[in-house]
Amino acid sequence: MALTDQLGPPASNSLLVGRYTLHKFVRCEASAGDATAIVWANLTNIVSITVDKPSWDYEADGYQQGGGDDKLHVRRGPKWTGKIECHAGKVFDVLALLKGLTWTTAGTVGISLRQENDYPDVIIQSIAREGDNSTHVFSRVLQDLIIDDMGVDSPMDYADREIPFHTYHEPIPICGGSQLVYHIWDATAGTPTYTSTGTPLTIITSASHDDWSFDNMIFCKLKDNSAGDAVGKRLTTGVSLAGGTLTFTTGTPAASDTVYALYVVAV
Amino acid sequence: MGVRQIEIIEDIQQCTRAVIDAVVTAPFSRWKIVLADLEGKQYGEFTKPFVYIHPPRYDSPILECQGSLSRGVYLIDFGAWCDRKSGFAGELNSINGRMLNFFRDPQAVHTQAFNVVTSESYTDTTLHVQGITILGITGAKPILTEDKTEIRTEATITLMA
Repeated sequence: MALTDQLGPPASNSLLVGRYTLHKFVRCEASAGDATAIVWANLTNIVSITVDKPSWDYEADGYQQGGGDDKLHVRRGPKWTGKIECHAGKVFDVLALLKGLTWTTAGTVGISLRQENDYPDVIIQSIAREGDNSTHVFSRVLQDLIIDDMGVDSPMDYADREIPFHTYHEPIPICGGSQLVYHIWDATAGTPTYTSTGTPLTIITSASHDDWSFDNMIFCKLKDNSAGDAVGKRLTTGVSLAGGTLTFTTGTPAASDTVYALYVVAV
Repeated sequence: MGVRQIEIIEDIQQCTRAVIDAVVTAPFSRWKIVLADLEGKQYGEFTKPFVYIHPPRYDSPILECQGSLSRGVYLIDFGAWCDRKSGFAGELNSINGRMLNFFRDPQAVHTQAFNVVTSESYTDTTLHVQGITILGITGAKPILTEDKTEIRTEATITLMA
């Protein structure tokens, strides 16, 4: 070590400019593609998508007698809030896309700005790219976003409009050269295996991290339609994903069930 | 690989000339792409229309980090010169419009393959590979010419290298 060390100039790809970022999304409850992964759609008319640091339902310091001032800080129930900034003239087109609506006179004419439930709407991957608008730097995964109730201003001057959202599951950056795969299968009774796409990468060692149940899946969900489930519920055990196959080791789905998996593969 | 900081002026100018030369294809290959003659003595020898590339000018630091050197933002002027025999204003508009469109398209401008000789002879290289990032381009402004049958403009590219 020398106190006089001088570092070289930063690499040109240190510069990250938002206009080179591409946002793609899937609807959480898209129609099952079975052996075919759900196709990610481009999200146009986006000015920015920001996510704040989480707030916690429960946060406390734990002490024990004899331990003096040494404490254990406990946090439970994270919630991330954020907003999608859109061009003013396109805010409802974006909202309709995210809600899975066909917003036309032949489809859904009105969009309620009050959300009826707390079910996940979309998964967004924000693909950050270098100044050539191509070379992948990293992607930010926003999982299980729930669109919030909206207010919409109509100011005189130019302004963007925002779509607020929240999620109970953490945003994740994934490294350059990797991308998300989202599969939805209509379960076959008594069938424990389902054909997936690509080779899943190890994402995070689940044993050392809260909110993660699998090393190579962001989540795996099961929706029991016969029990009236509205959305898939996250599994914590009993399923594994390896090259080309999702396998249930316990709790083989019933015929009416829907299975979901979100994971990462190399581009 | 890429532009040399110690020869940054020369290398940026050569790469800019080469990438414009590579993107100009038929039917526009009549546009000759040349390095600028700073004193203007040789312009009369070029068959018009032609595009000339000035050396870049250092503008400001960018990507400053604590304890390190910085990268630079450079401005590079390029001009277009036509005369009545080579299409006059219409041809000039075509050059400037296509250059504007090219340099405002981040994918096209950074993936356009070209050949250049700087520290070594590069074949099928790109501005991205050379470490040049185009940040923007201004609209072309008119430059007075002594000969009234000729017409000339200059625009400025902003880049990081």
